[in-house]
Amino acid sequence: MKTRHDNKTNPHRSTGRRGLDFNSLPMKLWKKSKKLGIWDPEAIDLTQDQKDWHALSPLDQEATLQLTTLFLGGEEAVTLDLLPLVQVIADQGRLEEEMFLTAFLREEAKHVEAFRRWIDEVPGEQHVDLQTFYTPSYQKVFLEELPQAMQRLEHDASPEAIARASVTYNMIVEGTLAETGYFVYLTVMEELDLMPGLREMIAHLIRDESRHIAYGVHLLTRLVEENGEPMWEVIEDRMSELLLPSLRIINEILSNYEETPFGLDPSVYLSYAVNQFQKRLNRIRKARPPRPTLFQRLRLIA
Amino acid sequence: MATTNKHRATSASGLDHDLLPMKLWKKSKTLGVWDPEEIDFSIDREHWLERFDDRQREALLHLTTIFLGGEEAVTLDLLPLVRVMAREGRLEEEMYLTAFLWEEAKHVEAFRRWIDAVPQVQTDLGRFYTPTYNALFDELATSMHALLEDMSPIAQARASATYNMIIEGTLAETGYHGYYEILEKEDLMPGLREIIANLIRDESRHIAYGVFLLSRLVAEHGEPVWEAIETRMSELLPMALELIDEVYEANEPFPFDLSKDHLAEYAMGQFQKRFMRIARARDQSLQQLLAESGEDVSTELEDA
Repeated sequence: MKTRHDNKTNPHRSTGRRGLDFNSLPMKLWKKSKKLGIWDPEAIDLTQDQKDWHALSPLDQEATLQLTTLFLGGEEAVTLDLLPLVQVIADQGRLEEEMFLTAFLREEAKHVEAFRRWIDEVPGEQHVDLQTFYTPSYQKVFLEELPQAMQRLEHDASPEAIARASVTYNMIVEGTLAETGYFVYLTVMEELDLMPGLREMIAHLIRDESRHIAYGVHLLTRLVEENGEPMWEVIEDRMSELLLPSLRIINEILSNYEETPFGLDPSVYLSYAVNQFQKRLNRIRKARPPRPTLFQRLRLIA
Repeated sequence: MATTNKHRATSASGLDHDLLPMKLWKKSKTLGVWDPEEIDFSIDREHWLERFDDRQREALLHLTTIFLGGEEAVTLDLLPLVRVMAREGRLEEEMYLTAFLWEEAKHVEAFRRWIDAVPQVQTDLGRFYTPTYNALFDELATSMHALLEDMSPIAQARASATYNMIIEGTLAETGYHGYYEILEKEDLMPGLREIIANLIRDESRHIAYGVFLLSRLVAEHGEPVWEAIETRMSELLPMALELIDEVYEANEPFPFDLSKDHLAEYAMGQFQKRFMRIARARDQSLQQLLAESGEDVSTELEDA
């Protein structure tokens, strides 16, 4: 590797003339994460959840455990798979962004603790392999698409590779799947006034994830601004590649059950997921630089 | 496609809360969440203007700069080690390392905020870097980045010996100890002292993880790893002591009541203590080590 410390130039950003840019978006998210991201999963009271659990029908128990398992696996996946992106950002010398990503990463690890604690203490499913709950499309997204897109950054830090990675991680896994899942959880549990501990966790998760998604939008926006139209196409292609497997996860979960758990209406959740997807796509589309006019294009050719 | 053991958290083993890294994780959730932004520097600014002479200001800025640069370096250079733990499926260790990493980033913020608010300098502070400082942090970057290509136990041992034992366990700890002492004697810079007190606590957990990791590597892989650690230490310890010399030379005569010998002695004492702990792993099986390390965490942290 090249030597950072050559005795001639200052190798560090923080001791340089510019110091840290506290007004940048990543530093604003960092600031928020120090207040909103320090909740402790251990401090959440699960006694009512334990009582509620025993009152659920076996079908509803199974559906709740499946959903929580898929979330736990997803949180472990994002804790592991964020690292290549942090490394790329660090290597590019974007200190403020790297700092926020350290908070982001730690929050993901806390989400792992939160869901595992709930499973240990509420259903009490210890020493059982819960991965039998994984559906084929869940495996496709979390065990193939996500790790592959993220690990590609270890040998390819091109803007295209970063965009594909961030779309997969921030727009699809966090912005579409996680948000839809939390929505299911919250609407069902709130309507039935069940599982206050789990709901408290989810409320924290939603807040944490909204900062993560905001970072993803910031990153993708920057990539589109820097690289123009071709980058937008990379993003759009990647979004469309992943939309179907993501929606299939919802179908596959529901088809596990003869009756719909909690009397859910699946179409509500499918349309919520599609809406989330559209919303994310539109956010990035706004960042697209205006198309050159015909006159400008003719001048370029000339 | 096989699905078994793809994820640890949803497997039959779940999370092992008895592992030392999970105990450190737990502590970091309460002790590691302090916010640099909440520390009040108004008295520090008064002291800076009224209670220090030029040479003292220069020495204090020198120390703070090299600590700030060091915290940035460790924030950047920890990543390859986190990746190794993630790759090896050591979820508990990776989880703790995410907290560790976040704390390092907060240390960067803390020192930079102090420099912005108290000396209020906006010049390039790279002039304070001495040749041995640059050489040591180059050793850090090189041995940590080597892990991207080589995750062998020996590469891990060299990396952790550099990061946890030398940079954190010898330089940072000794530096913070001395820094704190000179300010406390005269009851100066309450904001900066609050930062340092928090840093010392955070670093003690980081070093406890390093002792755990190196002991685990020795218990698992035996003498070749032990020899790699010994070699690395003997390469870097003289450099660490040389750096203390250089900082004193640049500020000769040192404008604070703190003897270089006292610092060197403190550095060696801290180093010896940890070195002995790791040496004990030479006669331990992995199981013995894991059974014991849960108890060690409290001793290590109390000593710090």
